[in-house]
Amino acid sequence: MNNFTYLRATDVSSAVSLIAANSSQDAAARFLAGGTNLVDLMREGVEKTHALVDITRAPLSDVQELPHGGVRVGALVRNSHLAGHPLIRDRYSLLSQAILNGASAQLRNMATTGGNIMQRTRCYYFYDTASRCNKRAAGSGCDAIEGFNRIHAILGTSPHCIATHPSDMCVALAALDAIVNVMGPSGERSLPFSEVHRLPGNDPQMDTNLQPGELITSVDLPASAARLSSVYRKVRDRASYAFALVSVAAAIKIDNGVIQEVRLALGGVAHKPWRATIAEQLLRGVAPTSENFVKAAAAELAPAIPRRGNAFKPELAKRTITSVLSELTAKEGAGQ
Amino acid sequence: MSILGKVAETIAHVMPDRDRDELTQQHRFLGQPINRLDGRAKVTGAAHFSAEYPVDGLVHAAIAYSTISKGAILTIETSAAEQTPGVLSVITHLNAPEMKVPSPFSVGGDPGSGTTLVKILNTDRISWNGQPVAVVVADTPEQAEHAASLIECTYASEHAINSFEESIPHAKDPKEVMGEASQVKRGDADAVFQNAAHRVDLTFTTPPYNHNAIELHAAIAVWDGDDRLTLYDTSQFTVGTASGIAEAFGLKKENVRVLSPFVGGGFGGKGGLWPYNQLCVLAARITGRPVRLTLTREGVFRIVGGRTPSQQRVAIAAAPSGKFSAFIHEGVTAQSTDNHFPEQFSFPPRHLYAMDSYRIAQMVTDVNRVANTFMRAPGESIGTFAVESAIDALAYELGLDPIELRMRNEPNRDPVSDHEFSSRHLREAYRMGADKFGWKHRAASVGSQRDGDWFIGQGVATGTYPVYRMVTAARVRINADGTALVQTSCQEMGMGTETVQTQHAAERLALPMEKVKFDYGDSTLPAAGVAGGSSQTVSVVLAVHEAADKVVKELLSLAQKDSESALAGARFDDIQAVNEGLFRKDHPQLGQTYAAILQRAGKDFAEAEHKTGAPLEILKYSMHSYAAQFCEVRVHQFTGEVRVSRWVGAFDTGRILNPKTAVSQFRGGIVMGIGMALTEETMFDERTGRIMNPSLAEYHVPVQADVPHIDIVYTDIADPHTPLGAHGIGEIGITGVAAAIANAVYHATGKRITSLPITLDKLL
Amino acid sequence: MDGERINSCLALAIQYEGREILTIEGLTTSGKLHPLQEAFIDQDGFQCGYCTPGQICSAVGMLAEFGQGAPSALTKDGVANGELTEAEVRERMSGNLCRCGAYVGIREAIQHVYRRQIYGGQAR
Repeated sequence: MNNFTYLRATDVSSAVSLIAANSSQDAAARFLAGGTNLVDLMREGVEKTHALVDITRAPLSDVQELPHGGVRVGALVRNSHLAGHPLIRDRYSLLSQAILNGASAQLRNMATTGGNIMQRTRCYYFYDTASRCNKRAAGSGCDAIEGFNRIHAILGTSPHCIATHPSDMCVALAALDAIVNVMGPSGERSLPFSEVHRLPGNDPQMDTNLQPGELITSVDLPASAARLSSVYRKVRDRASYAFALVSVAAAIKIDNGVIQEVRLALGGVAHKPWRATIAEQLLRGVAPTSENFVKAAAAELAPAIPRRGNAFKPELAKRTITSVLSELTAKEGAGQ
Repeated sequence: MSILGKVAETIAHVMPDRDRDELTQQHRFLGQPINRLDGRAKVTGAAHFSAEYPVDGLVHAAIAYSTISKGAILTIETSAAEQTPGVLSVITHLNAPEMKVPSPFSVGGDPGSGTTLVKILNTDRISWNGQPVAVVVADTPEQAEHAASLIECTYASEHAINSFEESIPHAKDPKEVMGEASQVKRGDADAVFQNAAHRVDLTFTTPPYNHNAIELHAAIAVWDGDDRLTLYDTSQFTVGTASGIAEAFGLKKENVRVLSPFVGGGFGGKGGLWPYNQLCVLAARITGRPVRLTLTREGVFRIVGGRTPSQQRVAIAAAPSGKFSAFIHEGVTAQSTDNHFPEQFSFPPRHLYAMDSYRIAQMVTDVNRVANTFMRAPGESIGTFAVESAIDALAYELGLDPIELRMRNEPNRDPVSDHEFSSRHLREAYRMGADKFGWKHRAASVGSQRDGDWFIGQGVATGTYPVYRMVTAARVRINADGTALVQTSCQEMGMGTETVQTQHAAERLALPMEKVKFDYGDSTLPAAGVAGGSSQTVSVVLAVHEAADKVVKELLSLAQKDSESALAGARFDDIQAVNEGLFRKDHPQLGQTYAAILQRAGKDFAEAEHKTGAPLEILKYSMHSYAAQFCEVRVHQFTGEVRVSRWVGAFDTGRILNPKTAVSQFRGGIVMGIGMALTEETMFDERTGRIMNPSLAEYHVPVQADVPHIDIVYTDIADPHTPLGAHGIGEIGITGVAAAIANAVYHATGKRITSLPITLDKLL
Repeated sequence: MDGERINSCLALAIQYEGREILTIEGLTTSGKLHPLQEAFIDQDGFQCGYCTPGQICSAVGMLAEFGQGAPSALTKDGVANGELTEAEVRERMSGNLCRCGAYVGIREAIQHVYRRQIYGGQAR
């Protein structure tokens, strides 16, 4: 961990100003909230920022109902509080379930909504400063492609990067069509969740479409995604306290024996939380049968490019999707 | 076996057995589930581990590690590190004074504890990816770590053997493995196997593992002048550490004091000398300040070796009755180019089964990586995985119950050495375990049990571990106030040393436990062996027993000089320790308390020290502990996730000295076995020889949610040839576990997985 | 930290200025052990003792969370916390590693204290 300057901001605009004032082209200051990812990266020498702006005292910790339905979650709401909040448990249980499957209780007590969205990949070569990593150092190469890539991406990859986004919460937010509100030097703007995280393409050094100096202030959960029957299933190498190999967030509405609405997102398979739009399209309007689930899952995973270490992922993803959709259908059928 | 070994074995056979210890039957304290005496210290955070001693003027050291696995350092750029605020010194091979390479680890003679022949920081040669290339000393640990990260090397990299698989074709015969022949055979097992009607032939692979004790390796070095040193360390072998450090720095052994009363988990990873403490001492010498060096978790992976990978073939032929007509167990493990440790995976079948013909052999290869070392049940843990999985497969082939197949091959004497077993009740352990587990309710057919989306299966496997005893010295002092002090340099790393040794000493001397103080963890105390091989408890018990006998004899002779003593004329065999003193066996009211004897003699204390003899009994008898491991697993039908749902461990490990701590030890071994079977693997990148998961985030040790309820039962049958009839129990728990799980997975799914860890991708 | 369990290794001290921090040393009051500390000794919830301060502090936080109705990954939708089952203890304590494998003793200690809290005085 290198020497750094510690600054504090008690409101959003001074936080944004402090970051701008302490950043240059080559050296960015960073927002510090829970620190569960940033402090770790600094201790590992992966993140080398010279200045931290602690925003934990800014008033961004509310969970409130929005006038036209929906819920606004402050960026500093901690993961455990969000998962346990009555509004969230009642209307967006998928989000609650996803959060609770992530990390550990201690980490969930520290981590914030904004920080969870901004967390970086767990790729072994990203973490190892002696390895070649295009994300850590643009253009240096990617040692994961021919190396250990069990936890790496199979969808949306590029020849430059096969890293995955490790969050569980984000998979649910992708499925729920959340909106992310940010404040930056140029003012406020909002991004649909699907546009927050990027695919690696030729610039894997960029994780998100946030501009330098922009701060997430809140996340809106739309009314249209409320109270859906949903399941979050996480498949991992041990029973708890591990990142997903593959995870599935699914919500479904069945009426007259036909799928009226379906939301499907995958974790552990791509550089961003993966909204399974191909599968959704095939599932809307058809009967919730095993056969249709298998077909939809196969179509979604057809473009997958597996590597030596994660060759099992396409099959695992397909099976987990099918299994989750079957479970949801049974749940809906039983009127739960 | 060597000539010396053969001579020793002959002597052992003609020497009479030790007298049976009458304490074996006593149970005032021994055999009681007494709470740990160090419990309060541990639950309040008062127990100090090596990095936690407050020392005035302490500064901190950090290590920079090589990033190639073989070659030479061409340049090493240290100016950025030197200029970092707070940095006091940067030491590299260019300016480090010459240190002697500590003698390799050994338990006999002069205790060596070196783990590698690499001249740490005294060479430009790189022998493994992770080898220390510099030590930085600074005012704070953060400054030291940061400065170390600024050190840049250029290397001349050479072609290295970075992959175990790649090295296998170059395997060689190590001739000897842990004092036994690398190869043993009888008859022509291969020919018998070729012609057998019922047989199995399977190849197994196990990956590299790391101990990952929660406490990071750390040391604090405090010099006193130029030639005296105090080292706070986390060591399973304080005397070995002291000896190795003294050797490295040309000091007199008696001038090096290593203090290590509490070790935060060892599992074999803290028994040898790893570079961190040597570099800590070096840093303290160069800066003239007391230095603390705590490895990061990454550092532990880089410079502390773990378990070797293995590839093993087990081929067994049997008659229709199930009797083994041919047993072949062969394979390869790896060592580094600079150490010699072929892990003894081929030991289990040498002592477990009656075999008409057999060929049991192991080879070893050299790989360019950090030196491998012992890790909980070295040999037996990975060897039982292969052997016990193969036997399970054979049971299906024969249509026999897996326990029945094993029982039909129970030997009456050691199958290879033909020695008598000192104590073997595996049959009883299986009976107890099967009963507790409900083995008879197990469905006979494979893949037939389900619960929703989960397949359910049950598996069983034998575990075994040898009985070792190390030469150990102890001092016993009885004070005029009637209290006793027992001292030896041994360790506490979770086995409950202070508790069980106090139980023993109190029982031996007939004192209440509160009047016995047990001092340990200090290399200047009488020398104990390494806390390894599950040997410490019985090794110390024997030393204390014999030292206590000496003190009693001295007290008796003091009493003889007192004409009014009720012990006048009594000989050692006429008296016994009871009621805090010595009393006649024939007239139990006649005698004196220790306090009375000493006070009347005008002495403050009586004391004796004793060093035990070599463990010749191990050469005379075949001495082992046994386990019958029963488990149930659930395998998800779609995702292949494997979860262990319940466990029964049945143990035959001599007399249990403290049921509370023993059950915890057994369980602890089983938990580590679950990790070995299902979740753990150290990932060496074969292009660079670099470990790519040097953290607890990506090296998955079992968590709470992975561990089901574990029931433990044991025979508690005393071994007539061991101190107190007890055996060590630290490692038996992990043996047989991986096979039990693999066998349960087979029973659940019909898939036999022969490579560890059994991850879901292998079951999709 | 203000009654909630966190990981100190990721907590920059300066961030927590003015907050209430409770460590293992603070659990013993006037020389009297906290019930969890006693239970860990009685149920043998440790071996080497290195993870023990963390386990106990985490358990204190966990029991408080459970009492306040905080859900875990095992909690069913919309259902309030019922009994603290073994499965719940396992999931909720999975953030504390123990390499000595004292997990069974740890959860027996926790459940022992939990039952005494709920049923009062009835040690099982």
